[in-house]
Amino acid sequence: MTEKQRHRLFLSLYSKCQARVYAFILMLVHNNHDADEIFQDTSVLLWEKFDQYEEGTNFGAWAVSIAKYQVFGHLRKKKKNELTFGFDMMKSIANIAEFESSKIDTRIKLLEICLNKLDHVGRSLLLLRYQQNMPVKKIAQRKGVSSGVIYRKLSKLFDALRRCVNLSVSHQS
Amino acid sequence: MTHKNNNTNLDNMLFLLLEGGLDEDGMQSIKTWLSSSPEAKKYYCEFINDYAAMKYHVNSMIDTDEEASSIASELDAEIWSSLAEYEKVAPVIEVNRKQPPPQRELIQKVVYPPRETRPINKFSIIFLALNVAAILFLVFFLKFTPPQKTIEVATVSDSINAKWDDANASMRRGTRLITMGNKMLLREGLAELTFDNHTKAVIEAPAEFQILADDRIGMMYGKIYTTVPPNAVGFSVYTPNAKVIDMGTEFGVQVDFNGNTQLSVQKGKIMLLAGDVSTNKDEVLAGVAKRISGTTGEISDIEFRSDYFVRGINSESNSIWRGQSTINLADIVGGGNGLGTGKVDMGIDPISGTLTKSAANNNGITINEYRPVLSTPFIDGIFIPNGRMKQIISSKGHIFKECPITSGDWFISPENVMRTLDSELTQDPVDSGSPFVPCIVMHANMGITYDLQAIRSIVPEAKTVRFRSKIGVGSETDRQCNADFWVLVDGELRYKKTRIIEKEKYYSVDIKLSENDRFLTLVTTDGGDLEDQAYTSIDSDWCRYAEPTLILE
Repeated sequence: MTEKQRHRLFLSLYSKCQARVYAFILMLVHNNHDADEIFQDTSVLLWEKFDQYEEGTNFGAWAVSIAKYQVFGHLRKKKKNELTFGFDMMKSIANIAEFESSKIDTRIKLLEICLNKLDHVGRSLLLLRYQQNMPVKKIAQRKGVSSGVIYRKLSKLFDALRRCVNLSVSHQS
Repeated sequence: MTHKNNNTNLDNMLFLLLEGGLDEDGMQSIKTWLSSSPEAKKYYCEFINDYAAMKYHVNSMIDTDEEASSIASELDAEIWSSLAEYEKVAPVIEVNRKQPPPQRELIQKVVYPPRETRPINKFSIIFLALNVAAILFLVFFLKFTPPQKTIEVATVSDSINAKWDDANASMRRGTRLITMGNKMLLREGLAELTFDNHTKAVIEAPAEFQILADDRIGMMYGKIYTTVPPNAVGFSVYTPNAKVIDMGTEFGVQVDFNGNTQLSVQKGKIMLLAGDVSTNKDEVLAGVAKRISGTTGEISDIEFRSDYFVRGINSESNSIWRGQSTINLADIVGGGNGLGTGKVDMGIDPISGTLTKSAANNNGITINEYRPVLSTPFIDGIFIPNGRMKQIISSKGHIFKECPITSGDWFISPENVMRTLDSELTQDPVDSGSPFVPCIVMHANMGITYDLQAIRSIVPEAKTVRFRSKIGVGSETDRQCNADFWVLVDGELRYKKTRIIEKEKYYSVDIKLSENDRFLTLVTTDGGDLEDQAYTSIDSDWCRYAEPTLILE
């Protein structure tokens, strides 16, 4: 296989599971900033270690196992008092997270439908926060409202989306 | 997944946790709840799975949703008026601090739809397209760049906490770099490369790059800031979807892992070629930032941030410069490098010349000996001024000829502190942006000499052109003060204000500096008060250099 073919294979496999990898990382570090950083490092590492992947096996599971290694490496660098939940708790959550994160594709599909049901205000705020990556504080400062207002609005939007997704799940089942 | 309205508080806490807005009590509540049962952990994972799905999907809408372009600028007024209305009626997000949420309500059996083999979703297609661009970028290099001999063209001139990939693990300061060699992966930290044509490039991890020629570098991803001297005009940065050609300038380029390129021009101008080079080109001027879409190659305006890129590093002083235009001299007294690394409430012990926290005078009158300060390279020395004998004020033997005769007494070590200035009482109105400003508290009698030469090494790209500060006496006591302020450059008196007897009255000091100036000395003295039985000569002389700043250009 040429280098170009390898690259293409990697991208086709990774594009199908990167949402899962991100979700898994976020479940363990529960912090947007850290998760973004680890996700980027993991993406690089996956490509570097792609030689070790056995073609035909579950790429998503392999990618998550690499991500797990990265996350715990990150957590080990932190001082004990900087860890919110502690190592034992994290290990316990990691086992559940591996399984739960595998469901993300279904959720994304339903979420896409639900997002279209949001009004312009809601969609715009979500885009500003999660597409433009503008910090809540900055959104609030720019528009002269408190950060609490933005947090509440985002939380409410997310809640509405989850209810919509759950409703779709129950209808399907 | 379950959802119940009476779990609103829990959901709000989890949401705040992910957004980084949860307080300590909230953290503790979540921790307690998570420890309570496997069901709690499952609910936590489900919640975050949905949050990640939302974030990921919204992020993937970047080039597919027409709304994106309008959002890039601002939300419209309608949105914010509706948010303001919402605030009036919105429920408060309460943190349940005492009782963890009931678990049973979370335990519900949920039947998930059967898993399906899904075709590549929208995000995946975007991701794939973006990265195909990355592949083509690599191919482009091999195919279209003229064959180069592998010659040495640059040097790793500095680095801070740099960790390289295994193939380049031995890379260190002084390592020579060749054209068309292996790609280099900087996993962590910062590295500065200096090309033989004197172009400097600061790379921020994670970054992967390759030196293509003596005037060309390819960035697969990561951040690079280049300073190109006039003789090297034409220096270029290649990214997966753009070519940035210098036209006498300083500029930063960031390539994200998805192949999008961001460009910020700090000085001069550059020529930007994106996508189809024949049609998609733009001349970008200083103070402008652009984004080049990884999917379409379209160029769009983005917010320019002057501090977005690291512009200079210095491993000796552990300095990372993001374009700050000032050096905070109070920060240096706190053991820092003037860019914010110092500690508040730290200072310099005038007897030992070491960093200390609130060293007090327990030994009475002190001789006016000049003591070198070894704990920071930016302060040459410290002394208790007294003109009774020749007052030396630098390691090179500069003399403070105008030094008044003082009691030789001192009270407390000079410290880096944050203080409010009472602007109503000031002679020169103080800009009231923040109520707290950095100050050096220099209770009389005290003198500090900064080494400007060492300070210049923090930001070698900039010149130190002025010293500015406000001086005055703080109101720590309600008794009468009487103090003098003196500022000298290389032993030459450049400013003095004597017999300040009114507290909280601040005066502006603004001194021009030249690149040849070596030492800046700040002094406070006791106003010539005599010792008496009730009070010492230095009583209530809580002198402050407020916002003591070196201005850079």
